[in-house]
Parts: sequence; structure tokens; C-alpha cells
Amino acid sequence: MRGRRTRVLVALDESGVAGAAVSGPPGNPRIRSFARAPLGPGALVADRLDPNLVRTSEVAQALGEVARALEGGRGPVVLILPDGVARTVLLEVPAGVAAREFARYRITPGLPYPPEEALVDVLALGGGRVVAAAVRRRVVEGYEAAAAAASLDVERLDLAPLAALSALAREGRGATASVDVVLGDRALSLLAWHGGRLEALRSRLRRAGPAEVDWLAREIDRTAAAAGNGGPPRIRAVGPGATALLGAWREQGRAVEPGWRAEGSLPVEAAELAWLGAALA
Amino acid sequence: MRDFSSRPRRRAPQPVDVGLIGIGLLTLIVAGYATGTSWAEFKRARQHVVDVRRETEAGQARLRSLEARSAPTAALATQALLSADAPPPRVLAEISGLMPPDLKLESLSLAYGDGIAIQLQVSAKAGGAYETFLQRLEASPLFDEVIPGEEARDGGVTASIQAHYRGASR
Repeated sequence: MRGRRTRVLVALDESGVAGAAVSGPPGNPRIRSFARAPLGPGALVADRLDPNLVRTSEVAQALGEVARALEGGRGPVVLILPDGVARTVLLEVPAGVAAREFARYRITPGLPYPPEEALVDVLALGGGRVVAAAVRRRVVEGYEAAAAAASLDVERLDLAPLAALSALAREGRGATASVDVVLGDRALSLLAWHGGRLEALRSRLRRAGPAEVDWLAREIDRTAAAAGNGGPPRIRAVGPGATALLGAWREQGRAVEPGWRAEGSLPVEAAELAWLGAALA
Repeated sequence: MRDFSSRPRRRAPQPVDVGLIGIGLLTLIVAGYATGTSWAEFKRARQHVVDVRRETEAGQARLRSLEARSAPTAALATQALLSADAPPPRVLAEISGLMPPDLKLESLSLAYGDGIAIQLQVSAKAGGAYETFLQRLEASPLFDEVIPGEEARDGGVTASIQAHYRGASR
């Protein structure tokens, strides 16, 4: 039987489906169970415009495997979509205005599809700032269909970069200039902080391979400069490949740290799971 | 909490939802209790109004009854006042003061009401004494409405007289 505070997260990305049952308070979570099911290349393609699930049955089967393996996996779960499926933007919401409505007003004119096809929601950061995201309805419906085929009881849908940011934003920054890197299999998000305030948000497709370390380091510096930071920023990273990237940057003399850690038995570092932020916030 | 679902989903109740529901239920209970209390107070107030109205009507009835009895009461009061102001010995003394020496008072009846009605029975050996008494009685400011009654003359005179004593109204 699940504890009252246990949250079940199931996340999808191009490389596979993963999930965890997490208990404990957000600041001190404990992983009660973890499961992962790989996907073959091309079964899922994280994209903003077209349905992502090329082989829906394969994805649904992976979802079912993970759900069965998780403690409480048949109960309400949070389904987390990968980085690369949404348009995200940092907004300052005027006082007295509903953030979600303002986000829809600001974000939909720039989308390459009709506004009525956009599903818009926000992550509030305090001080009137929000990160708004828009996902195309047909993209979401593809994931929902796979979850339904796997008999998942989906409580809500979240996005991996917002789930990660919700947890990263809890950590105080002080006056230190820093950049958070939220990695997905196909895309990544860069978040530049200055004086404890999120000043810049950028999204990029990943360039996997040996050159990614230096390319991403330049992108980090460029993002920090856009936020008004002078010197090299402190770097935090979460998501697939975060441990290796942090190690490489550390060897280059940069100030780095993993985005988070978690108690419990995990076959990977907690920082490798960007979606875990949904349980940490 | 943000949700990018394509359709609104049934959301598990959050603690704040449960709290709000609890507050709502509590408010409902308090409102129901207040309504019941108010209804009971209304019924009590309505009963009180009925009681007051009944008492008022009873009081008015008593008042009407007292008012109806006020005339005899006033007469009795007047009677009592006259009895104190003009007691029988005084009226008798006034009458005696008007009688000639050879007139004899056979009987006297005093009726105290709004005034003092006097019924006299006198006798005299000569008719002149009777006439003199009548003249004195009619001339006296203490008496009015002097009405001579039946007379019997058989050498002497025996007669009855009605009069009204007004000495108290002087």
C-alpha cells in the first residue's frame, strides 16, 4: 500500500520510459521504487509540431512495463513529457493579471500552429515572473493515447524542463551568477540566474558527441552573458548525460554541481533524471 | 499545479480543497443551527405577541367593566361625601330650626343619592303652623324642590312634604 505522500512519476523520452515512486517531503525525497524500459531508436521523436509517438504500441508497452514495476504504478501518476515538445518563454506578468491568460496572450502569436491548438500553462517563480510553455494539442493527445493503451491512470501531464526548474528554483542562489542546464535526450534548456532571479531562458537541440562538452560550455557562457553575468557562472546540470558533462567541466576548472541528490536505491545518479524534479518541488 | 492535459481531468482533492469543504460544511451547519434558533425565537416571539394581545384584550375588557361600573361608584362616592358633609342629625337640626313650636314632626325619611331627598310627615293643631313651616321651608336656601303632599284636616292638620336638601352644595 502506498504511503499518503508517495508520488508516482512516469517520464518519457526518446531513449525510453522511466518512472519512480517517491515519498517524503519535497526537500528530502526518498525513492521507493524505480523502473525503466528502453525504446528502440525512432519509436519516439520529441518534436513540437507533429505527433511524437512513431510506434505507439511500443511506447505503450514500455509505459505498461514501468507502471507494473512501480509501487503504486496503477494509481494516479504524473506523466512527464520530454524536453523538446514545448515552446517555453520567461515572462513578467503584470500585477492583477491571471498568469495563464497572460501567457496564452503572449506565447500563442509566435507559434507555428493555430492558437486554439495550444495547451498553455505556467510555472510561477515569484516576483511576478513565470515560465510559460505551450504544447500542441495533437502532440499531447499522442502521449495520452499511449498512456490509455497502457491503462495508466494519469493524474496530470507535466513537462520535464518545468518539472526540473520547479525543483531547481527552490534552491537559493544568493548573489552568485549561475546557469542551470536541464538535459533531455533531444533538447535542453538553459536557465541563467543573477541575484537569485531567473534572468534568461533558452532552449537548444542537443549536439550529442565528443564536441558537446565545449559547445554546451559556450552556450552556458552565452546564456550567462545574456542574463548580465560577467564571469564564468556556477553550473548545475540535471538530465541524461549530466554526470559526464559536469565531470568534464570540472576538469576544465569550472564550478559545477549536480542539480540534486536523492535517497534510496537508484541505478543511476539522481541528477541524471531531470523529471525527478516533479517530486522534489 | 500545472497540467498540460488535452482534457480537464478529475483532480484528487488537495488538503486546501478538503479544508474548504470542511469550512463550507461547518458554515452550513452553523447556518442551519442559526436558522433553527431563529425559527424557534420567531415562534416564541409570535407566542409572546399573542399572549400580550390576549392580556391587552383582557385588560381592555376589565377597563370597560370598570368604566361601566363607574357611575354607581361615583354615586356611592357622592353618597359617602354627602353622608359626611350632611349627616342625618344635621339635616334634622336644620328642619327643626324651621318648625314653629306647635308643629310636630311625625316622621322623617332621608334618601342619600345625588342629593338628599327628604320625605316629611308633620302634624299641627292649627293649620297656620303648617303654612308657616311650608313658607319657611320654601324660603330656606337649604331646601328646594319643596312639594306639599297629602293633607288631612280634621280640626288639626296632618300633611306630608317632599323636599330636597341642598345644604351640601352651598
